[in-house]
Amino acid sequence: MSKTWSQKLKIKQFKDFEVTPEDLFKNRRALLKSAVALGLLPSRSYGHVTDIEGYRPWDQESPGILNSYEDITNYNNFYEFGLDKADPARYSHTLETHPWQVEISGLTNKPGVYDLEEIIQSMQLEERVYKLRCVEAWSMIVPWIGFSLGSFLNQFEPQTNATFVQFFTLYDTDMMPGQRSRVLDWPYREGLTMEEAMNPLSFLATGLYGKTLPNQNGAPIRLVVPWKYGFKSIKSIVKIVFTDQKPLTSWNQANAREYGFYSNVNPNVSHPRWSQAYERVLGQGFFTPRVPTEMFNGYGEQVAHLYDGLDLQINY
Amino acid sequence: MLPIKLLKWIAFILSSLPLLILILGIINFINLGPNIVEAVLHRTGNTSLNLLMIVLLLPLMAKHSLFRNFIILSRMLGLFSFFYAALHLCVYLFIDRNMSILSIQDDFISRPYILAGMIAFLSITPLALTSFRRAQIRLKELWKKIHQLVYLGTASGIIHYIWQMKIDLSLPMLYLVGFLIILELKKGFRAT
Repeated sequence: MSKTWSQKLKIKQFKDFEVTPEDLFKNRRALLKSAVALGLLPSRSYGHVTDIEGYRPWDQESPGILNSYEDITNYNNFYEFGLDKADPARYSHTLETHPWQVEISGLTNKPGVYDLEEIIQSMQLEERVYKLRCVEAWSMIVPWIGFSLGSFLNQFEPQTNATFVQFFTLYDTDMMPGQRSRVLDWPYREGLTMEEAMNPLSFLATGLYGKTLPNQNGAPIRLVVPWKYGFKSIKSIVKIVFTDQKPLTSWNQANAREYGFYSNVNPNVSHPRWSQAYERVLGQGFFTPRVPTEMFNGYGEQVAHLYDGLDLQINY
Repeated sequence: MLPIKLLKWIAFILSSLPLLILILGIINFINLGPNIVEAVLHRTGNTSLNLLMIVLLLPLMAKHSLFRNFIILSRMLGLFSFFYAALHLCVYLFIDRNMSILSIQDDFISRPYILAGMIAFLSITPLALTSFRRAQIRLKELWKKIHQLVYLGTASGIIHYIWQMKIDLSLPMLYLVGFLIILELKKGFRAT
């Protein structure tokens, strides 16, 4: 079913040319900036975003029509800056991302604290147009820029007994005032199996739409795991730990019945309080209906083998 | 005290404002964010519940000389609350679920918050249907009994609100506390 649906969509709507070319959206940004300057548009904070040069553009089929920069940067779940979707865009300007260091520790031959600028310079940046499916049953299509998680992690020579990798967001109640309210057990933490982390789809993003990440989208570096619900894609990472224990993950700690460790997108396993069979594609009009959700968010071909023999009804 | 006519006009305009905002949002004149359907659902639900809470407050306010005539707003605000609840339900059925019987059925069986919402809507429906003066005169004591359903409606509305929250219950809990305080005050007034 999912095949025919995705094929139909590919033929009907999703063509390469619909991915906005770089120069065009640069122009669009310039246009937006001048509109803001003229007072035609409300000014919104995008932090200090700068253009990213020399990344390899996405040359494959887009999983859908790209969402606008406006939508992607103004509808965010980033509880470190408040619980409303518009809060991160409003309040994340308090986050200072220069300089930024990432600590690598645990079962690795090269533990240490690394400067993000140096990390980025050592990696070949590329664009990935991915579909982001939130556990709240909405989705958007985002053109990320960054590098593959696996090739990044391999630089630190994880030891053979490392079976999981855990990620931590910054904990700083001045820069992230939402952490003063104890809605989650801060700092935010997430984890993947080593196999999942090494899958070529797993990605570390440092930018989107040709620019460095705005704070509200998880600047300066965030995870993107497109076959899992959005909350797995942890933002503003400061620490990565290789481990042989299944790591704690924030939403699982908050409510294990509703949020599992794997949290793969799965239309057949409902959230206890709402269905996951359909999703609303953001940026569409009021009368556009929901669309069926695809197994593994449509990335089954690349990742289904990771879960062979695993009962996904239990391991949700 | 404000003259009754003016009071009614103010209440009418204030209660219509949320509808105006929604219409402007749907025709893209103002920006309700990239998830318009969710925004409309949240706004209609919130407005309906807010109006119900105000309706419950009116008899208590009427004890104060300054707000004595506010009680006459009960019918209008109650009807507005029902109107927004009906809009909320229609958007859920026809826009959000696109009349997909399967997904609605699935929602009813396995999502208690949908059930709570339905109970809330069904409890305030008879109130709207018997809101005109002739029904009030004809039904006499029964009318009063029927209109006690407003408490069931508000309580289930609040439960519906609490149950669909992802994690932070503080705002719906505030409604619950407000509702319990209103019940308590009402008891106190009856006793004296």
